[in-house]
Amino acid sequence: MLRGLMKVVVFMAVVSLIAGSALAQTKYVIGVDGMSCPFCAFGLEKKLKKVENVESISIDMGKGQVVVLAKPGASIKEESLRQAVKEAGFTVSSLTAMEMDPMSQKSGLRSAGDYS
Amino acid sequence: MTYKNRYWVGTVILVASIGWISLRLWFPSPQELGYQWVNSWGLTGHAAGEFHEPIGIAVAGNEVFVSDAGNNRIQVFDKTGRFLQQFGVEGSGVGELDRPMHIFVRNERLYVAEYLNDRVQIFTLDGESLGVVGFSGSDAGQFDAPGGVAVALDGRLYVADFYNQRLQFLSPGGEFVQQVGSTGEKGIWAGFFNYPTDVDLLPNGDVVVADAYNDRIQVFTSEGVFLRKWGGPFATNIPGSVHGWFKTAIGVAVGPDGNVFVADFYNHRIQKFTPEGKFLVAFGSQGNEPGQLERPTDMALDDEGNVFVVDFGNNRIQEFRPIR
Repeated sequence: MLRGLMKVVVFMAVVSLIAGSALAQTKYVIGVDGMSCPFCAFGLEKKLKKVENVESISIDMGKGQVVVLAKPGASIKEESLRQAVKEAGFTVSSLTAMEMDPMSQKSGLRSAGDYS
Repeated sequence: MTYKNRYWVGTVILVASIGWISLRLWFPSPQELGYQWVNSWGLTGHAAGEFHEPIGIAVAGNEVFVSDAGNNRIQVFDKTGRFLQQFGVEGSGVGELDRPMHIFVRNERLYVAEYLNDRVQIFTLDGESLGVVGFSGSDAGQFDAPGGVAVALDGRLYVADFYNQRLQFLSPGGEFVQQVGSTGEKGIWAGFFNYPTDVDLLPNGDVVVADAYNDRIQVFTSEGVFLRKWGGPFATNIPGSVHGWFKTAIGVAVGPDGNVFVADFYNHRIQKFTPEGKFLVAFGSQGNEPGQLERPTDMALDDEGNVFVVDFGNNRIQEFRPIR
């Protein structure tokens, strides 16, 4: 019986690991200068929305920062992000990708268009 | 007097005359007393009465409509700032909005330029959607980030088509009639644009366009014939902070007496002109105190000439009254 219980525990741990990694999302933090005008910022949002695997976008005009969240389990080509920023008339000053902890994903995430 | 002396005297007189005319033309003085602050309302946020990057404004009777772009909704207030209702949620369906920009009221209808949905949506003043005009693209009748819309008495629409660098003229049914500007091509000459953001109509039907990044205003007939432009020397994209110059003319509104008001974005002020473009007065300075502005995007006037300003950077609406 103990052996059976151990199997269940191991099984559930493996399932959790797989589920956790499948839900993992990558966040891209892009530094963009000169975004003080809403037409410019929304224009950048428009370009970024067309990039493959983008789930949500958050722009902070004051900080000059754009946070792009990829769809769960997917990644975004950084070159595509750079190109979208360029097409919007801006230049990328910095670009950092980071894996979001699935357990903490719900906190701090905002839907497309929410601005800090 | 010798010929040589007369030549120099004449030259000096000519240069002085040109200088004097230029000074009067490009450095005008206020012609009115100005405006005084009356009221402010709004906070940063998502709740009723709060704003997140408000852009456009329109006044109809006792109601003030505000396009709350960051929150993808329209909020409605009375003229004291009391919240009445809101409508719209983020999306691309009918009744949904994606970055509502400048708005316009005509014949009990609210017209909303939707920047990210590439269309103009029409609502009743109670918030019921009556449909949309336009879709994405650069062909005739298509839009790429429309920033503003104006509607004539007969229902014809004029749309500031931002990334397409043009002003489109549409029939009341939304069919393309004509355009001003070369699609996708920026320019500083008359009839060209550098990101047009807003449009309004003079009492005689002439079309006034906020040619934002050319730092100027352009005026056309209702058939698209260029009439005049103003904003800095020869209105050729020379930004500045003196009277009559602009640093991004991002919003335009025509008052009840036909005068033209311009939201002078990076100068943090509102400027007022005659319909012919003669500078009258400016008000506002940068800051967040009552009466100060932080990158205003638009204004609208009621029948008494009171001005309601979208104070974009401060996420609020401010009312100003003419000093009489």
